[in-house]
Amino acid sequence: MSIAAVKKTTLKPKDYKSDVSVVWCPGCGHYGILNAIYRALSEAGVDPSQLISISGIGCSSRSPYFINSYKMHTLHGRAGPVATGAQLARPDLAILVLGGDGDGFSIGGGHMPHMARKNVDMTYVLFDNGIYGLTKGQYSPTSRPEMKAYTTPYGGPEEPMNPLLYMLTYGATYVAQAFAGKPSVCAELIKGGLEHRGFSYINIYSQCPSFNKIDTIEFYRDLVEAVPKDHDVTDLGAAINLARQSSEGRAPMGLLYKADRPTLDQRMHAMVEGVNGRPDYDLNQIIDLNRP
Amino acid sequence: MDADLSFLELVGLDFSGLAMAGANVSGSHVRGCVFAGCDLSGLYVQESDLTACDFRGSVLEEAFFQKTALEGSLFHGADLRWARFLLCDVRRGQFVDANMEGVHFMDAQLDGACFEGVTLSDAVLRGSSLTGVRFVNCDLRGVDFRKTNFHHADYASILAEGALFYGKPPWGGDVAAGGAAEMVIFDGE
Repeated sequence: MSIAAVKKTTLKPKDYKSDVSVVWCPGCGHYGILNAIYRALSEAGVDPSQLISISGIGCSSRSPYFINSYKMHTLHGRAGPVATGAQLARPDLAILVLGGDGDGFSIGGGHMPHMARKNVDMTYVLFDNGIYGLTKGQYSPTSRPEMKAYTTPYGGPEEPMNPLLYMLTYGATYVAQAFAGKPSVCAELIKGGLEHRGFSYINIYSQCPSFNKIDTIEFYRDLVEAVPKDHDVTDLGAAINLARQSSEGRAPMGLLYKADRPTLDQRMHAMVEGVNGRPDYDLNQIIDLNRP
Repeated sequence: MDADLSFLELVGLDFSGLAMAGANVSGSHVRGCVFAGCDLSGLYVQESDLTACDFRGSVLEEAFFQKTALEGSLFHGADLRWARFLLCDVRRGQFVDANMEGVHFMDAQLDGACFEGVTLSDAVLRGSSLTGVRFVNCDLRGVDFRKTNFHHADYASILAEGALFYGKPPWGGDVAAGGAAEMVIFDGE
């Protein structure tokens, strides 16, 4: 059962750094997010031997290499399904999924709703830099129309998607947002996600100085607003109202929504328990029914 | 959680001797501040102005600086092992007697900086500007000088075994003839 069952340790953030040298462009916001992940893992006391970090493809998807954990660098957009399988097979481990906006919402966009609605017990940290950086700068699902990229030399013809609204709508049980200029806030929210039982989604804005010239650290600083102190994180309607601010030139920073709901592995376990750990059907009969 | 000093105006303050390990400094103006003798290990700094700050005798092990102005800052005797300075302006920085093993200066401006008596073994200076830099009495073994203008720096009495660079090294005959260093030329990638 995710982090709840994971053996607690008292490691320092630097103990979560792997031996692999971090290679992102100088100026990249991902350094701040990775720094926050190290801190969150330390604060949550996650035992690296009971942690799997899983990614798809992209700049941010290199992250598992830099973390002292078991790791899987999977196919583009497929980190979520692989993580779902890993979580069901080993519910005693903590699952950390790391990826970008293109990987999560374009190539892997079909998987996101299902991880949320199934309430798969994992923590998904999305590094949202509004660009495909690894492939040298193409328009992504979260790019603003003002952004000129190789694929959109006159700017974008479409509105960006709203990741928070998307995840809230599909039933994620922990939804938060921050930006890389505030690594302390990022760490706190990631720690909360690790400790939450269910599907935790943390959207983190990250500047890409190489290919996204308009979403700078100053832009994000002025864009984000701390979630009001009196915001009720159990109120889905209030969370949706906050998430909608992103369409109005503002973006909430903090924990928007948190709910307790049975996780996929809990429901699966209950099913197995319901038949005393044994199927009450003959698998061969089912196979025979489908023979041509 | 560690101290968060992001997006603040902290000009001219004295933080001497404070334990600030793991602090975050993003987008802040911290010009002329004193951090002498501070524990700043694991410090995270991005897009900030730390011009003319005093870090003498501080511990900056594994500190991370990117796109940060550090022009004229003092690092005498500081512990900078495995610290990273990416795209930073460290012109005229003073690093005398600092411990800088494995330090990383990717695409940094180091013009006029002074590294006298510094251990820089296995440091990365790749892509940095080194005009007028003083590496006198430095241990430069294993230092990565690739894509730098390293011919414009001063290399008296250095150790440079295993350094990485393109072309001929600027210290060539002098170092070998004087017996002050064993030099191995490795011709880059």
